[in-house]
Amino acid sequence: MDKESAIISQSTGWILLFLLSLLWVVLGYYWGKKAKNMEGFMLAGRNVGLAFGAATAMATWVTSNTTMLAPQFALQLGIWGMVAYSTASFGLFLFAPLAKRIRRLMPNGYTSGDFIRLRYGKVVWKVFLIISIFYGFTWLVSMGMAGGILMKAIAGIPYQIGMTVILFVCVAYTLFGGLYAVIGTDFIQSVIIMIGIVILGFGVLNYIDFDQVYQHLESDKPMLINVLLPASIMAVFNNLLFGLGEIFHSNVWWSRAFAMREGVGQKAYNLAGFMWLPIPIAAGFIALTGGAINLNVTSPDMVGPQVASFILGKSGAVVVFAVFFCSLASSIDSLLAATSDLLTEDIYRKMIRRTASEKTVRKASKYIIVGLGLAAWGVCMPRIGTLATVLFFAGPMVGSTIWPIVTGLYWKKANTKGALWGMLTGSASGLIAYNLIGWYTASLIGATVSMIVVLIFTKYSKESFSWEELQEQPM
Amino acid sequence: MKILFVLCLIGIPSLLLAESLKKPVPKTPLKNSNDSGYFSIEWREDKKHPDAVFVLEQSQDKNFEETKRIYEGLDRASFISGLPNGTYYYRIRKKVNGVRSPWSNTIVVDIEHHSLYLALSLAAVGLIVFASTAGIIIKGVRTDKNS
Repeated sequence: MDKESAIISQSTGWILLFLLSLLWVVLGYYWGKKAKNMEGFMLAGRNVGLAFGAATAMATWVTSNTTMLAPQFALQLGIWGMVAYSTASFGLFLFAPLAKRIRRLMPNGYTSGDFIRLRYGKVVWKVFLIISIFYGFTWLVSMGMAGGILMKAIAGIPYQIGMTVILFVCVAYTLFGGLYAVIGTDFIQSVIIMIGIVILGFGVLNYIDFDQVYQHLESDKPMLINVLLPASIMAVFNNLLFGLGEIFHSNVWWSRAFAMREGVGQKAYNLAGFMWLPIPIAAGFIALTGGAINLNVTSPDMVGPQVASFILGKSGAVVVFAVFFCSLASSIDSLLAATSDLLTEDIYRKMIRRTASEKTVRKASKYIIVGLGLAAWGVCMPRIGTLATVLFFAGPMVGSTIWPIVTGLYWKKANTKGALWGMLTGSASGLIAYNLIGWYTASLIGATVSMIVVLIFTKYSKESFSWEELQEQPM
Repeated sequence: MKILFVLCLIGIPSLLLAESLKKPVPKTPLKNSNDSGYFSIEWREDKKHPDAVFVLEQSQDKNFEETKRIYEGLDRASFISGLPNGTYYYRIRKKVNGVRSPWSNTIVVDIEHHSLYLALSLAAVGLIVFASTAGIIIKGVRTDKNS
């Protein structure tokens, strides 16, 4: 696509990659020793405290999508695009009370799939698993791709090699330590991310002339500062609902709700939301400065790293490399762990081998982590589309799960038919909108149709669910 | 005589190079319509001249009487965004050792943003869905506290 030269030398890139990889694998191995049983491996012993809880939620949500997609949003959709991305923090804020309720209603729960199965039955559970695993996989692929793109842009490391290394490292330490390793490394990664963002913020403030940025936007890209840019107006609520759907349904967030100590979940998710909120705004703003510094953007998902490295220079590029590596690793590991939990618990243990011993299940879980990593690697190899097109394809499906989950947690009258048809019609209509109007409407349409369907079925339902049915005893 | 010889030395290869420098080939289709205001202009690499410098120009006039230089450098793509409604014309040329190729075929992009009515209607729907979702959770939290 482009012939831009890398910002740091390939040898520096390799050294950084080696050091960071070694650090995560060693820490993963160290923390992994705590995982004595399956509950330890999958849910970190259900004993995660506030500091680690908030850090892991924040670091997981600072994905490549925050550091690379938020700038892309700003470059494509302007000021509203920047705001649109930051609305994803509402997902964390609104999940905070849900986390508390989930922990109370399901003290022995393992996955989001457990909730759907117990609340709505097996048919909805299977549809939900298809949606959730598809979403988890597209997220994983989008981040594997981001890793390869990033290594190439910053250090000139070939896309395929960079992508392979980051996936391999994350698979390795998740394999050693399960959720203990994931949460432990997330804590350190979140600290590195925050320090890096502060350094970048100071760099931007020192380097950029705000008047010049505004003048450039006004003359060359006027629609980016126009508050009535239609696509961006649509994107605001689309992204908000996408974020809500992602967090509400994904096992990444449910597994943390189960893993946190009683009384910790709500505070941890609120704290994570506040820590996360300014990051996409800062990341998005730097994308708008690209034109003023005469930077040619070849691929919109690379504008963030490109501008950041340009402003901070070679030494700054090292910081940028570390921040992006951490943001990618903290999400890839979480996804590997949470998606493999879903596959292990909901498919292997509940559908295939109900009588499997804990040792067998743990072994299967490890094979599943490796398999997931390999599958993601295979799909990442040919670079398909931009990060947004890959990830937002799952948007309608994710949006359609919001109402079945929220009403399922709070309304006794919420029922199987409503949840099933809500997910199916929401996903279908959202995919039509994705193709007819654009990706920036898909989640919005999916969530809206699903809400209407759930409301209709609930209104005419005579069911009254008993919350005790969610308290399944461990197998 | 010497001057003539030097001129020949510089001029003949340049003339030969100019002869061999073909116009760049766009990868982006030549006719495009767009409703989001952002798109990429891409062109193919010149394998014969890997160090060719490409120049991308934009105009709102199909004859390029008034042009804006969007990019000059080694890249083979440029991402463009933030443009208002209108028809935009793009052309690319390459430069090798100071010798310029002819301009590429013109790429035309017709931008017509989505209707504001559609955008605001969808935003209103989004607000209702979000407020209703938040409402259920807030009410649920209150009920939980009371019970």
